[in-house]
Amino acid sequence: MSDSSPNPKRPHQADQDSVREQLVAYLDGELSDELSQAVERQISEDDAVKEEIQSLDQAWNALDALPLASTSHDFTKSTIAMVTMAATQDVVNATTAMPALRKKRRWGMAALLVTFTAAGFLLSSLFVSYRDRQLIRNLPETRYAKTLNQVVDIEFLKAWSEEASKSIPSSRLTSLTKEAETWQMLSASPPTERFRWTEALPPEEMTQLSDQSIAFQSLTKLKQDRLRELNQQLGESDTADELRRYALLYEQLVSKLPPIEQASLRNMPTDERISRMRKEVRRQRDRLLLEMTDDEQKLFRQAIDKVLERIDAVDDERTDTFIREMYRRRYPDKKISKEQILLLKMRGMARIASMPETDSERRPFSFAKVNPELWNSLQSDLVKALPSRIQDEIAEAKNKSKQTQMVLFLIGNTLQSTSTTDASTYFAEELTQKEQLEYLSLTKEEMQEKLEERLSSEMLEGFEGRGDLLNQRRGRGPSRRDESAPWRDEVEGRPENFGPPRNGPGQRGNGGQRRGPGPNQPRD
Amino acid sequence: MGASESTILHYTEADPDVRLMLKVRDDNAQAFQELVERYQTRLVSLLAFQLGSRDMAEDLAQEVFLRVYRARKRYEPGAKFSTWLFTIANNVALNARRTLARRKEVSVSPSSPDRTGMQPIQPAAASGAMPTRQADKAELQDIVRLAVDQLSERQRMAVMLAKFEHLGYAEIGEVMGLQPSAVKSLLARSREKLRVLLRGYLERGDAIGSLIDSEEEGEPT
Repeated sequence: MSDSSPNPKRPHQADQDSVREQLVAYLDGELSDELSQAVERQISEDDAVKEEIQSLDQAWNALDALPLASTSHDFTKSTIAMVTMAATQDVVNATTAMPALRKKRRWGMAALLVTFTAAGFLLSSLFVSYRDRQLIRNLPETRYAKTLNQVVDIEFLKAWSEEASKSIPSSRLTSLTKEAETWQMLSASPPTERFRWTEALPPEEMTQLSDQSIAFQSLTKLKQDRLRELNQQLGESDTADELRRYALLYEQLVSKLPPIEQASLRNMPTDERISRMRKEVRRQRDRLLLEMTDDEQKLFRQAIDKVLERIDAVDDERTDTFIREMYRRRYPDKKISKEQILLLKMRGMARIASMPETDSERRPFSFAKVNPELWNSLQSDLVKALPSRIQDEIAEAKNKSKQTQMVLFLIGNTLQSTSTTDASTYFAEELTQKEQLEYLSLTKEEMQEKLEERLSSEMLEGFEGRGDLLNQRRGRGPSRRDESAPWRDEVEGRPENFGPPRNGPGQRGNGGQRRGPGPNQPRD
Repeated sequence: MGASESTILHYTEADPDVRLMLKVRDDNAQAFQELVERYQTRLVSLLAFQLGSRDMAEDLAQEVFLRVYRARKRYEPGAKFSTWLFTIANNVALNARRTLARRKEVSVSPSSPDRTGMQPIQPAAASGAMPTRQADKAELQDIVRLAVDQLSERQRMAVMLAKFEHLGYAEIGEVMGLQPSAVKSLLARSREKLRVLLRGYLERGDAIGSLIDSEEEGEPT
């Protein structure tokens, strides 16, 4: 210890700190016997010193009032589980390139912990990592942050549900029921059930949820509290189930608008917002009616694959050559895949089959072998694979040409949503170095969005209105802001201008995730 | 820095937690669990005082235990086990605070509006809905917490280690990377600050002592 002798007299101002240090060290039992005795003498001789040491001691004792923090009941279990996972991962990392004998030795603690954990704690059901803890705690708000953020307040949501119920058929809400039920379940569940739910998610969806969690955690506390409060108000409402479905529907509609419009909506008074949304519903109504859940899209995708197989079975080398040539002219550096050829053929067949007879001279010469009857049969098979509400919509279209356009729109949408091509592989293998650098200058979310957009644009060539190869048009992909129904030529005056929605997420199905880039981060 | 053999021997004999940690070093999972159970409340409390959030403190406490596990093969008993553990905790807390400060996400010290004009904290009027004694206890807790929040990060850590972990100046210095003399000054300034902040309340007499006593005895109100 630093043991300068205490000043026997009352100190000057400059010495006060030094004296106080001695007094505090005395109270802390940090002085030697000799120095302690000196301080004790001082206390007995000087009332001011005595008073000072008493008040210091009193303040110190007051700290006893502070309660110790308690830990959650599963703290030990989750800590052991977390360490077990880390241990296992460490060993995997350390032994990947090792000979078998040495590998065995490395498993020491990891193996012990795993055995121990498995026996004592049922790792699979109890493991909550320290980062996942936040996610589990805020799961409903994290998963539905974007929706809650768009809705802003419960009064608006009630007004919106009333308005939307008048203008949107209730069948449209059916596809949102599962998601709304998931929302309800997550909001009402205890942490253990939430955890089990996340555990059952496929890895891709878990990753996305994890991104959403990071996004949620990066919101200000005020914002997080606001979203929690809104979610709670929603849960307490008598019509919570219905409101959740309308909230999801609202977010679907609004997410297709540019960010600035979205922000402006969030700040509008309820009446004005409802009025603005009335117009938006009119504009998007038809497209909304054709949206499918992930499960529905999977079924439709299977039907598309079968149709492609049947087209592939038709020996039509001349058309293949024609398509290859058109593609080569458009993308001199790229090779067209077999799937792309088939898709273009399908598109060509559909268009030709739906042309009025009077337009027969406009048919591309190379599609000589296209038999309109074949397409009619294929289209019929495709329609049968659609959910009944969409079949009804198609049946109500004013003519066959419109029906075909609706089917092609659905094909484009489904192919984009169910594409298995990885954007990172595409980035690494297909882009030039210059292009890669351009993409790398973007934020992670922007990069992902633009890559996916470009990838699907190339993969779905022929299902895009602008730049349609078979129409010999030029241009780079469709407009991002073309959300109205393509088959409604009276709306757009451009019936062939169709393709998948380009901006914003698609449907969420049973535990499904939104398509589209980036975490589900609300905007302010 | 390697500890001498005599130091190792001394701490191994004197500190049962050191012996547990040596078992952890030899891949004894049961020993690891025991250490987690022994230290979790203390660790979470220490981190909660540092960060102002129990949830975050739990997460960080797990991070600390993970680091203990990862460092086990390099562990040498050159100090008491608690000193080693709190050194890790101090580093983890510092990192967390830096991250939070970068994000400007939350005010880490929940209520430290003014670090310059230090004034005694004035107790609010006790709620009429609560029995006086209970209200006094709650008020005391609030006031003490407010006072602790107004300490600097380093002062708070030193105070918590001294008050609740009963570490000596040398051990606190080891945890915080300071000389014992610096710890002495730090604690003197901290205690003086607490004294000034709590002065108004303390002048109300013996209330604190009796309240704390009744709290410890589990007296209902």
